[in-house]
Amino acid sequence: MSTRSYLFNCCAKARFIDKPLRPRRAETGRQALTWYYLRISGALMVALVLVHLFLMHYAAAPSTTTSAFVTARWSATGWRAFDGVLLLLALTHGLAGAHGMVRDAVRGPRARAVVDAASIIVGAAFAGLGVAAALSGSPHRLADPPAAYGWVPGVLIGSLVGVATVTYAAIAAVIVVLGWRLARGEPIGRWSYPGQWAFALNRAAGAGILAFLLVHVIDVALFPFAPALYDRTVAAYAMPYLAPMEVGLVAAVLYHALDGLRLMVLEALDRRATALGTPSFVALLVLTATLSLPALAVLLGWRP
Amino acid sequence: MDTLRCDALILGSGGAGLMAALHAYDADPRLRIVVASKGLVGKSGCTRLVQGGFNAALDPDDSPALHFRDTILGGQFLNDQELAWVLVSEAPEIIRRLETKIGVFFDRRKDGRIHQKAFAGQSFDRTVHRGDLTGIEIVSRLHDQLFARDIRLLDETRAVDLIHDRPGGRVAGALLLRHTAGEFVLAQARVVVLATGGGPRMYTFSAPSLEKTGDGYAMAYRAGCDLIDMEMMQFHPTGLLAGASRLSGMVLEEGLRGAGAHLLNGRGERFMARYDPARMERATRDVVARASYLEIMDGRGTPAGGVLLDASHLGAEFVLAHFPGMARRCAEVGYDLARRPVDVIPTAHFHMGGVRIDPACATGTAGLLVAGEDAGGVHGANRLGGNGVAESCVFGARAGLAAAALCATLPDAAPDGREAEDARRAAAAPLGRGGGESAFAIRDALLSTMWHDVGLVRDEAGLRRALGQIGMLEERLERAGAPAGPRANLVWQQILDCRGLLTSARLTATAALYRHESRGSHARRDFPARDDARWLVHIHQAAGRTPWTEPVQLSRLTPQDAAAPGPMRGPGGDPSLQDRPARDGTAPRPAPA
Amino acid sequence: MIVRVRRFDPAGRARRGRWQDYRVEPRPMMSVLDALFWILEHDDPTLAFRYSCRAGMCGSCAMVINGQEGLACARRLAQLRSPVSVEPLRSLPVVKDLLVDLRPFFEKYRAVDPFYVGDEASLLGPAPEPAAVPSGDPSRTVVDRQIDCISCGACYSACPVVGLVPDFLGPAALNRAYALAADTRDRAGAERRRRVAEDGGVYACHGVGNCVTVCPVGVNPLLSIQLLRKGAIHR
Repeated sequence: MSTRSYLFNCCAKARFIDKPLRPRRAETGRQALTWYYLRISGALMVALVLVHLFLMHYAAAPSTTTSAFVTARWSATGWRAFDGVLLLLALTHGLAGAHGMVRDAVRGPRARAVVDAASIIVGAAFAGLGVAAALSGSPHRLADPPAAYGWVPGVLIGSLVGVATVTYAAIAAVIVVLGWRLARGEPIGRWSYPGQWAFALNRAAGAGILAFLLVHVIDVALFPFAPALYDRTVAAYAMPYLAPMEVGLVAAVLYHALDGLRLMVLEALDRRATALGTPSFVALLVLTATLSLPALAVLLGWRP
Repeated sequence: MDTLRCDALILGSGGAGLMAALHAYDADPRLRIVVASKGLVGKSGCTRLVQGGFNAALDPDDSPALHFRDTILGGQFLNDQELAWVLVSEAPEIIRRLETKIGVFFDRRKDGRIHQKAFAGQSFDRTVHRGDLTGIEIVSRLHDQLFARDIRLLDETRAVDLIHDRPGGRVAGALLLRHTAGEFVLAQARVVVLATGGGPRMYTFSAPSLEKTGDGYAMAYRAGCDLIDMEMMQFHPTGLLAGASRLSGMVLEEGLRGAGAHLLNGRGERFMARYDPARMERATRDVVARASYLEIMDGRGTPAGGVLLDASHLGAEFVLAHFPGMARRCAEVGYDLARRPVDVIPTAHFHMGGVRIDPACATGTAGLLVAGEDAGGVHGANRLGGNGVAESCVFGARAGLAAAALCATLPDAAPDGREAEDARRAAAAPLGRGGGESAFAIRDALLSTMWHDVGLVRDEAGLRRALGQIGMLEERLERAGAPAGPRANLVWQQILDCRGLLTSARLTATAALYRHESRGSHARRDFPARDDARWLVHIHQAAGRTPWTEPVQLSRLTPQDAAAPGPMRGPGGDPSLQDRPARDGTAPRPAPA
Repeated sequence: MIVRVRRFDPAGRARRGRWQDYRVEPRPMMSVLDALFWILEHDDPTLAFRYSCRAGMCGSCAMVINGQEGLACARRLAQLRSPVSVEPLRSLPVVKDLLVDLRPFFEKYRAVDPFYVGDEASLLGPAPEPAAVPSGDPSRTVVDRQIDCISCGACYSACPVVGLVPDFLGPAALNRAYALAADTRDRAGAERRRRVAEDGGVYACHGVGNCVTVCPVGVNPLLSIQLLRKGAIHR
């Protein structure tokens, strides 16, 4: 048995503060900034996103958004501005969220610096790319045959397939693990709480949308410079393997946007909202599923 | 063995312990103060369980003198009047301090002043409260104040024994056991404040927290202190009866009866009419508890073995608004407090007896102060509802200030290593001892013996039987074993708990056997009348001596002064025992109208 | 009835916990805490758990029962599906079996300066008259419920953000900060509001709401956090 002398310093739960109120901590306000920005950018974006979603997934199937489609659309400056603003809002919103998620969890000044730098670099690069595409407006006359692009189409389509595969695998893994636990009568952590699902789905949807968005910025950026390559990529959206992901994307956007609105309403109502948390979540799930159905139909060939 | 040095070591973190720590610190912030609690600091103990409230003479129409009178009459003149006077005169200031400096928020009236509700046995509505959960609010706010001060806390650290600087010398510290880690710590302190909260858990039905096992009384007794009035065991009339759950014994607060709830026996009768028709259910706890007990013993109890508490006629909204905590607890076990009668039984609730102290919380032993339920004499033979948490807070503050003053004058003294080692060896002996007695069986046997023989009504044969049984159980405990491994070993802790329970039980039964009268909570079938001529005395017990008596100093109020008109009882003894003849064969005196 | 307890001894050889099933004889009105005592006394003397008041007032016996945080003394066996799984609180280091180390919880609680600050720092000296606050005053409507917190740790355990964000102070601490900020008698309100707006404070909360679901005494920490964020202290 050890012989330690506690003196006065080693008592369990020893507490010491040298004056009643703590001095300010070094890091202040990052989470507050993120919190406000997500809500402001989200609120501004909602209308734009829903219009974009409708046009791309309901009025037409994604695979029909060829370079001809884009040329026609971007002949109007209004649409280019629309898409540019939507891109900037969505990109900064997604990166603010992702950055916040990762940054909250890492400790240590070096890891934090890496996360901050990565977010800024990714943000600047993709924003630049996307804005440049929107500003350019119409394809340049670089009508090279697709064969000249070599491995590039493979990488682009591969990354789409990659995002889809990761998504499918993640969903399957969740189902398998939860099912396994439930079958063995083991508890499933906090997953028995509806609030947990609402939170996790919001984050998963956000992460998935961001991942897709980054790929999407690159493929749209091809439009002004290599429209044939762009068409190759767009045609890939008709792949059956990607179909569940596309419906999933629609559902994710709907869910994420509507859940964001739901959270803001609950926060505004505060006291009157106490009992509404779970019912509003259930209503949200029903609404998301219902609104995703037409997108699925469109994908399967139906046209309004 | 690990060691710890500090100036003031406070054992216990209920109302008394926390008030002592805070006051000692504020009196002298340079002091090294350590609070050691058997459970989690600020979360264990019984101050948290206080539902009713805290009596204080705040109203201009009220006065400490009235409060004093109520306290002495309630205590059947057995109170130490100087201690009782400290209680009533400092209670108002302590309430103000709790509100304005510690942050407790008491319920208010419409005009914004503190609301005081009615409680049994009082001539004025003076019970300050917060809803029906006063204790949680008080202890939580005291606990929060610890964070504003440099006070060190030891969670889940029980005190095993007080250690002297030499045999027969002063108290120089304590042997502590950090039971979650399984490590002993020898603490050296200039002053030790004993505030463990006594607690009568040695009965089948008892109200206190489960960790209350009379450790304070046992340690003080082993350390040579003088314990008084140990026979005075308060049984609260309305403890919940909850089947096989440990929730049984949990108190349904007196405020229910104060608000007008009825007590019914198994036949649906309001039986208090036969025991105290003037006050009915609002009589003092000793009267009501004994009445319920006699009803049950005479076969008029409910099928569950208790009596019924009926608050339904007060209106469901009223009950739910004023007693939400209780209603919820009843609902958890399937009772509906607001609409239907609830099964209740008298439950061992508070131990009026304890270590003899003076108004500065000092005992006869230098270096040791005692405050709260561990101390005896404040409440006499019966405690008024609302005076318990008042005692803890008032005397806790006093102990803290006294500790700070003592630290300035007492020199450092090292605790006797041999005494500490002996204590450690005795405490660690059960570890790894195989094939022995079960501590749980011993505990259950003690609970049953105490309930039947040292309970609400006692007699010589039963008390002697109980003492014999306690002796046997102490012997069996020497053979009790716990699995090896000191860390978080609940069985080992139970064995140590039994030591405290058995010592407290022995002290209680011995004093009960000695007192040949009935007074307040102590009722003898063979001596049913109160006998001021011979028994207006404190019964003292100390290790190595046979019990002795010392007369009560009636320094401020005598029974003759108090025989004034009013709802209080005069010196006629408990009406419930009137049909049994007095010991000397004379006819019993009639109860006053 | 089967009670399935998560056993773990950090000093032992196993690096992870394991489930151990016990057969408990269910008797009337037994709570989960009663069942644990039954196991301790009749079956397994090495079981470790924390307890004190057994009446839902101290918060010592908070644990995860059938996947949901709660007080073991307040959950009745009769209302639970067998097997009843019992595990220690989440997000806190396990000391042994169901005992967790509450120090991180209390460190965060302490970080909001959870004590009332009056006009005078010292308890000594005469105390002023208590503030006149009429019963039913609107300034107390919300805060009167929120001061009931018994610091049991259930909300802390149930909150996913506590598990994901090490700096997050947690629902109990922030609720306490609100209770003090909303107390008209407290003098440090401005400093408290500034403190909880820092990182790890109210802006790390994502409105999940598990805390509200599990609180055994009906406190709504989510509401406290929302009101702090909005600066709507006295409503």
